[in-house]
Amino acid sequence: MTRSEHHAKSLYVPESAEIVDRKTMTNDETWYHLRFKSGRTLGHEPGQFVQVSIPGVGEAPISITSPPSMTDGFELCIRHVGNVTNAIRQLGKGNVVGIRGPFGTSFDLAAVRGYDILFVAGGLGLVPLRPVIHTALEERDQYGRIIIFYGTRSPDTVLYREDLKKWQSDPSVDCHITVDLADDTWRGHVGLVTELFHLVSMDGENTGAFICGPDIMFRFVLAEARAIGISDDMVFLSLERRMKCGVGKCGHCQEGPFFVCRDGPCFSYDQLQETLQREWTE
Amino acid sequence: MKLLRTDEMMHLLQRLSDEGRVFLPRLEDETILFRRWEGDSPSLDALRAGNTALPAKDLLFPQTEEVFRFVANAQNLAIMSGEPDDAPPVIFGIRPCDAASIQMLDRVFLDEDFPETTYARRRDGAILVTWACTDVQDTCFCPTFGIDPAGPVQTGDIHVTDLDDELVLEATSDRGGTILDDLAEHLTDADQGAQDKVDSLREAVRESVVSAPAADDLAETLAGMHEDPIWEEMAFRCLGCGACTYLCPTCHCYDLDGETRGTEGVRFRCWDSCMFSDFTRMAGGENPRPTKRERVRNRFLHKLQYFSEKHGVYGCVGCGRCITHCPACIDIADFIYTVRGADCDE
Repeated sequence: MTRSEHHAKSLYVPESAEIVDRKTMTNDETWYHLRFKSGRTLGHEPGQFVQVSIPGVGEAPISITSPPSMTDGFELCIRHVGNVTNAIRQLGKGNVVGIRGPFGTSFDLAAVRGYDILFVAGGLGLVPLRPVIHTALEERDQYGRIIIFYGTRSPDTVLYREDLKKWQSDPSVDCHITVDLADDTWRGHVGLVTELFHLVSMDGENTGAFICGPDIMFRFVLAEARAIGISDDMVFLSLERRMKCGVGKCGHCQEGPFFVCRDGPCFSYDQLQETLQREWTE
Repeated sequence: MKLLRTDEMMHLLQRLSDEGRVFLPRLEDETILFRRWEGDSPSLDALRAGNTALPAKDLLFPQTEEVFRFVANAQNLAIMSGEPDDAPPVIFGIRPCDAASIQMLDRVFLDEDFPETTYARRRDGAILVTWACTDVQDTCFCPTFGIDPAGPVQTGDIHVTDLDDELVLEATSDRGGTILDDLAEHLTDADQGAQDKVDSLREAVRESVVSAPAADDLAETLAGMHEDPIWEEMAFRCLGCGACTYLCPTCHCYDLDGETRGTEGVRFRCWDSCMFSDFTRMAGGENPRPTKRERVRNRFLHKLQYFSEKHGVYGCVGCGRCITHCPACIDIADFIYTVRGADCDE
């Protein structure tokens, strides 16, 4: 095998992608539309992630926020919290980044076909759930009710306002938003995302749930999901860990028996129960 | 089984050098390390001593290696292959424990979905000449994992048993067989006497290792020990230096990092350690393994529970390096026997 053939097959070499559009979403988050220079489509499933590479700075794992049906490039929503994501903040239209992926498991929409679906997103957790919501809405007749709970810190941290407006006005979707801390402009619900469970009556036995948010949120949301009778194997969640290689080798994202970048990030609650339970008892 | 006069070992090394770059144990600054064979006569002292200070791991999975080079500005990212294309290694004189450890690396780097190309190339071409242990150390415990310290290993190509004036050579793979066939003029058939000597040496060495086999249910027992105070005890002593992970033949964690000068740079892959506090820390500051307790526990459980649940083999071969070099006397063999709760000769 020649050197260049090896190169083509290396797991760690990113591919150039151009930023074709960007929009500031909040103080901390920016939305990017990217397109591979080669013209290829990303070919991802909802819930997967990519490694975004800024040469000279490093790589960061970022959830893909566009649905697979979008074939003209793909979208990322990036919170600027570290070296790489702050370097990305400086980039705009026409700039180029490196992309590896897509990596990891996806959310198992097929498992909830025929069921009602509950989406629970906390903060940035809306980002990996967005492609799942879009995909479910594209095949709307495959599912029963679609219920969305979105909780975030404050009104200025609300992501995807246009999507949320659309979902709230869609009669086939039951979309509720809450903020932890309101300001004068806020007319919606105030409180934790778990409180939304009490606003909507649900048929737990016929519901599948997709949950994403900070680790601390899982514990309470999973308890609510159980309380309304959703079975553990119908609850799906996505974990955030430090992921470096993306292919289950480098060890950074290990969580008990799992390498989250490869065995996850999307898991069923069934799979993770022992692992999460252990964390919560500590 | 063939016999080669020990003073004719050069013929074997010369033949092996046709297969790739030969590395063998060499004494360097009071430390025995795998070093490139340069055609000189090998040091028998180095070959016969306990084991190399470092395993041969970095000959297949180098401590640092380039992944690619790039020239980048905001509008363009040009990537040039930086992957090394070194010839595969011939690892001469590797101990059975270290040779066995390569099976664990194979499980990580050669998995079907994401095989790593550079590792695969080196590994496919590599030749392992295993060397029967005769100088067993206090910290050795390979029989705990079913490894025969003086016996041949599945990953090897040729196994050598050192009978002082003569070396007993066994081909343990087809490639090993071909190499020995090519050396026919220098070899004689091993007679019953030599065979008997090998057998008794193997048994004597096996018996000289103080160790008990890992309990069949070790992984299961550990699965129920998540909250055991033993983790706190070990974490209290642990300095978090990571020496254990750098010396371990089976540890495979790494980092991907880079260096840049102007618009040009290189991304490299280098060993990393799960014992470091920032190993799991995310950009936002959250850390799933915030204290040494979680890190020590993860290291032990990864080797003795998770790896075995996933791959059917333990992620430890009992080489004892982490025991020898731990500044806080954390002892994985001791830990295994404690968990086992069974009598050990110690």
